[in-house]
Amino acid sequence: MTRGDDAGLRARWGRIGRCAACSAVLALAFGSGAWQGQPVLSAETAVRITAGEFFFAPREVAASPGAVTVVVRNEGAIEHNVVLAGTGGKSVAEVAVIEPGQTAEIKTAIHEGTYTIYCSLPGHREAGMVATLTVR
Amino acid sequence: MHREDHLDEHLYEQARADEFVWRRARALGTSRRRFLQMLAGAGVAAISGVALPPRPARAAPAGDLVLKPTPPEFFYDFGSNKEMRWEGMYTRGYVVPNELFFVRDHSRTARIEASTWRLRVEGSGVARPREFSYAEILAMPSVSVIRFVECAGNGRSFFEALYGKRAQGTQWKLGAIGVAEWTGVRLREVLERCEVRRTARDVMPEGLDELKVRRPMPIGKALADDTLLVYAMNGETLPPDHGFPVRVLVPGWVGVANVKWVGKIEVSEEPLYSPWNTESYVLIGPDYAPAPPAKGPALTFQAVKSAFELPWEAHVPVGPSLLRGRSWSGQGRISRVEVSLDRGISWQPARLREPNIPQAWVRWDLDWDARPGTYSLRARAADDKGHTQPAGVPFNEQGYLYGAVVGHPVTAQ
Repeated sequence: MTRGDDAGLRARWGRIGRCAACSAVLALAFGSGAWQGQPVLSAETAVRITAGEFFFAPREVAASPGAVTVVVRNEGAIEHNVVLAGTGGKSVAEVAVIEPGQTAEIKTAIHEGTYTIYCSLPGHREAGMVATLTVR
Repeated sequence: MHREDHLDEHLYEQARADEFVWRRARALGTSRRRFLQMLAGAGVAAISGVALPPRPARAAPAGDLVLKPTPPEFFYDFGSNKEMRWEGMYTRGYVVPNELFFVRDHSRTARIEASTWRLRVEGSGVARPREFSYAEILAMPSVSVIRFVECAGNGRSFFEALYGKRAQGTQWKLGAIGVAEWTGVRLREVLERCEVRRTARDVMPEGLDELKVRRPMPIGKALADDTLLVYAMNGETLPPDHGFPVRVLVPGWVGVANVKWVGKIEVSEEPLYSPWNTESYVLIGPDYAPAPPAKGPALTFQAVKSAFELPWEAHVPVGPSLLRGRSWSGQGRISRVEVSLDRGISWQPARLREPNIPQAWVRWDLDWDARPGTYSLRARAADDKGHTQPAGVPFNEQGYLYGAVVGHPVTAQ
């Protein structure tokens, strides 16, 4: 793959943590600050999930169609990540790594439907790190 | 397929995938095409054939993830993963001492009592399934080999530098590797005592860790002379962080195949799959096609890599010095190492130092009369099978097999 190809790929992926331009957003979204210290999000669009060994809580969340922010806090002792996947398992957005104590956000626009939120690190999904996001 | 063919990974992977799809489709009374469509929309349960029960929510205390001391002067800390700092090897010998050896735990170090531990060997591929105690394993003929164990994601952080996007998983530099003398019993010896069938196809060790790490290998690899069940490391009882009481050694393969704390080995006449070779430890990206039932080509052998025995962002004094490093390959013996002091414009051969053991590594050095300035030192190696280190490698989402040349930042002042 060339750098040019990659630039195109990056343009298609509107993901936090995917490009240098997002680093400012990352600086806000990540960090060891208190849970309450995270950016304020409107109640209609924010979905908050806690990650740990080996779970997502709650396992069922809901949102309205449109702009949605999924906020994931890693309260575990080891690294986790988060992938938001649509029908057929296709990734819609993701954060590659969430260190222990850190919080990450996925901001994306989604349609009605049922989405899967999971940790893609080896064995974590199988062990229970999976949740369902219902959009309607 | 002949047993020798099982050592050709491309042939083997294609044959086993085809067989798996055909068998599952027939069992479900559907077509091969329909079954592949079902797989595309399903997750782990489709592979394992079982629904997975939810686990209780529980957070692990961070302090007990790894047992051995991992001081910051020798390790980068990634929680349950500890990366070796390469500068710690500059004054060391061929093997990495146990106290400096990197740790890759998928969850945390398992605590296993040797007195109650049992190894269960079972499945359609053995005529006589049975258990082995720790004492029985120790009493069998002993073999020692020197080989590397390396995480499949070693070098993962460099994908971000090359592509501007981060691959999933621990952001290792190049220190997720170590070479040790491993002592144990041949896996073949254990399988023969279980009367392994000539029709056996796959062998899947399973760990007793929290996540039950399990990943199959072809019978040809399982029966190889240097595929071992290991109980000692560098002359010492295998430490808990490295798999006590017994781990698997699968030379040249990605680290995850070297299952730690092994408690069960399934031997099958049919191809075996687990999430560890269908969801994870597979190559997923624009340059890799899905390989149903896996999301991409499954990893086996490690790529060629090289590392300098220097701190990352090293500061060296101006004047003559001796640069040192090591290179390794999962598929052969290193035959050539070259170093560039000028960002890849010109290359000069490094001196290789014996021993040079296949599927371990070779140490090398180079005289350098450093002038003041900032450098991006590069090393590239080739093995005797013709594998080399390219300038770049295709991106894959899980960040595996980063075998490209790495620029090591150094300032001479």
